[in-house]
Amino acid sequence: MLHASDNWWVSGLVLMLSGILILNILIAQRGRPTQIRRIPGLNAVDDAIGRATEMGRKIMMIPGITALDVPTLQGLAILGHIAGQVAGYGSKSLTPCADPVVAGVAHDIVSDSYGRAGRSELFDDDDDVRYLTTEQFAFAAGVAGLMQREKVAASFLFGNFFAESLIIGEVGHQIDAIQIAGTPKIEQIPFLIASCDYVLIGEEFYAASAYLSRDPTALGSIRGQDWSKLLLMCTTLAGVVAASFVSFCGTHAYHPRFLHTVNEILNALKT
Amino acid sequence: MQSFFEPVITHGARFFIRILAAFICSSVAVAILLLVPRSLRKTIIGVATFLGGAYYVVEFYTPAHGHPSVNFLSDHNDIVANFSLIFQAFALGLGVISLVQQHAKVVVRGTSGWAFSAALLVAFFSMVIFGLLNAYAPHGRILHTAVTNAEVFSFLFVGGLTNFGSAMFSMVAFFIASAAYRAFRIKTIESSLLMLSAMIVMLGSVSFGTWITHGLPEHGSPLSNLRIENVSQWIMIQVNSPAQRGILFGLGVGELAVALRIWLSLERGSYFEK
Repeated sequence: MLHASDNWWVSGLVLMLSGILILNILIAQRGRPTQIRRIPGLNAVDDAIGRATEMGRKIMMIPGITALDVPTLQGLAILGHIAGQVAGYGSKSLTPCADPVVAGVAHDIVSDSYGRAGRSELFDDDDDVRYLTTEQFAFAAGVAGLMQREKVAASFLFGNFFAESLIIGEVGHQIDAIQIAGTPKIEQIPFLIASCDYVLIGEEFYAASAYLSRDPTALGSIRGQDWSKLLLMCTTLAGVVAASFVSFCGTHAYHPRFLHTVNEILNALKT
Repeated sequence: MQSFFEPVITHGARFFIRILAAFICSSVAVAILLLVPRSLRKTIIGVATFLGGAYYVVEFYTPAHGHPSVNFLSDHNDIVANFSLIFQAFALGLGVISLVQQHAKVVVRGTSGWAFSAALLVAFFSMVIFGLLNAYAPHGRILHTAVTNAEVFSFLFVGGLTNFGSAMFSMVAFFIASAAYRAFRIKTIESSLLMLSAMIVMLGSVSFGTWITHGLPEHGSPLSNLRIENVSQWIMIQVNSPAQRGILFGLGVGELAVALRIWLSLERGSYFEK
């Protein structure tokens, strides 16, 4: 599907979902309180940073391995909040990046976080945010080496990950780091579950920045996501009913067998 | 505008003048962004983000015709995409400079692990030099020997880089075994179910598994549903796929929400100071 006119139904649905999201953001910005359910993985962020601070070790944050796209931006948003907490504790962090553009943005985010916390002296301009390489497995090797040498105490993986996710996760497990991960790559979720302590699954990944920041705009969009999912669930249910109906009586709604079955159900309800 | 982005003649004075002009324009744009006050920079970035996103929204929702469908904006997609590539090219240069600076410092200071940094610098410059020689003089010989530039590049790229990548990838197999050992330990009802379903799916994919239930009829009997390959198929199609689709629905809506927040600059606090 290249254009909306290829399938107006789907395009209309996307517009409707966008409308729901924007409406809920506007409502939240006007001050309506929004509750969000507990996400254990994000509650553990504080514990992981605290543990690393007590051990005097570094904290590793990786915003995925792809260029700047929506999941990477979300990963950077989550890492922005984590970097703020790391700076607040006066801990040191390490952010290896697989894309030079992402490395530039991550550098600004992390240095801003230390600046806001009044701990600019703790931020090492050369070492704390590093561009390693764009090659997937060379990046995995670089990260594994860094984790082993620095003996990081906590590792946060948020963004797009592929086969290297298991290498990074297992190396983190070998050095006893607390690992919290989240990725929209559905095929990598089992590997992360097997190797990490906490994993954000599905839309939890996109709810994480709202959960951590409690920003009304972001919380409003989470509320909008829930309404959108309800709409999609109703659409799915309607599809299941329609498909079952067609499967049962063919494409003709006036099929005698269907009418006969409806009469039978009505009679059964009456009796 | 279209002609500006068309392939250019890659020789002569005009070619170099164009490169120089593009470099000066881009540098001026970057300098303006760095010099303006931070609040104004946010506005400029917000407007640029909105315009970039608006182009694709308008292009998508404008009625199109033909196969593949095109409208009056479709021809300009490559131009807009080129802007993104140009900015990425700038950042790649900065990334490479930062990488070299960082490792050169380690080598000069002789801090621990300097040998790794030295290896990286040697590998980096070898690939750059022989990559360029391979592009411009592939048949040139090195120090009057029989070895050509193309052969050295091939040795470094195919013999080195590709094999190192494959070696790292092969480690995934061992890590899968160690991760699976921990994941499949039967401690709770959930892990027991996971273990059981994993066992069935694995057995359903190997000949030994199909041999276990080969006594059951293949077709025409309810018992055929109990053949291990059919149970495995059922788990994959009726349990695994719907669960994955459910997660994908949530991910799709989440991605749309984040995209809207970024497009309309509603999530600036995460990327700039609050």
